[in-house]
Amino acid sequence: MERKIKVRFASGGEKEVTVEEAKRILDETYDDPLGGLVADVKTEKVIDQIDPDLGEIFVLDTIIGGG
Amino acid sequence: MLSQEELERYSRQILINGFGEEGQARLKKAKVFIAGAGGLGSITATYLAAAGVRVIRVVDHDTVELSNLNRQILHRDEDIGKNKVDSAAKRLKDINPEVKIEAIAEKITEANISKLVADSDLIVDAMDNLPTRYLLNKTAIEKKIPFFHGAVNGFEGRAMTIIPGQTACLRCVYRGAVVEGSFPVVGVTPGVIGCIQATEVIKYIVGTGQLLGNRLLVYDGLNMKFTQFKVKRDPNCQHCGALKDKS
Repeated sequence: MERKIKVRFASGGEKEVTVEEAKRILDETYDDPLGGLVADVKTEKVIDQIDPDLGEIFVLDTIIGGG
Repeated sequence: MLSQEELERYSRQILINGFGEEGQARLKKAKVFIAGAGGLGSITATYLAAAGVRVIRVVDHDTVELSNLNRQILHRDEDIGKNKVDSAAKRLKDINPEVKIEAIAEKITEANISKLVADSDLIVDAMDNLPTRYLLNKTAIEKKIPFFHGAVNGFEGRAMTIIPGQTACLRCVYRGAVVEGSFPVVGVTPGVIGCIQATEVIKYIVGTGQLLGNRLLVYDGLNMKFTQFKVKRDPNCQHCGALKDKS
């Protein structure tokens, strides 16, 4: 069975995806003109690549509000 | 040296272990720069004034609008059309007449930022856009003073404390371009994040506790969750990369 990685989004929602799909999500997050971050939920560290043993990632888009 | 009135006014926080009269005396000497008198600025300024920070310099070029009043609690209906810094100064003086409020109705730009921050001990990020946040971050690093970041959107919030040369800065963490835009927000979100920023500022000045350095705090009000992620300095960071690591 193909390994799945759980993806949680700070903006809401979660899904299970393949490693390839997780890599695509990470690339898209870092390519977003507004930026964003991807973190490994287990280690609580911000990551810039999808390691094969990752279980769950958290995707944070950049938020700008404050006024 | 604290007066009898100050000892009474701040008695509950002086009682805190690690705070004491010494901590209060440090607050009495502190000069804080708050960039923005909106949602985050209203909260941080309110609690820092109440805590007894000596000087609060608040900078904002905007005037009060009706749509601000769901979250910018220093302003009232009667303030609509007036400079935000003026209504902020009035309310802050009501909260604590002992605090000196320096209200500056200017837009923060690359040309004036250094002069505006001047000899402030630290910078509080209460802005509503990324370009000015990056400018504040860069200025804090150049002046080697702490920068207290906060941001909100809807029910979400983020906070992080930056100590130049010791922790990751905003530019180490956020790589994105400088896009501006309006954002949705419910008033309680800047309330939560502004309180976290003010807590960090008080801890830094008093010299107690562990600061939110190298950690990005993520608040999810909809599901009522706080999560934090470890971040680290980027040696190639365009803002702080040249600073020697002092951690």
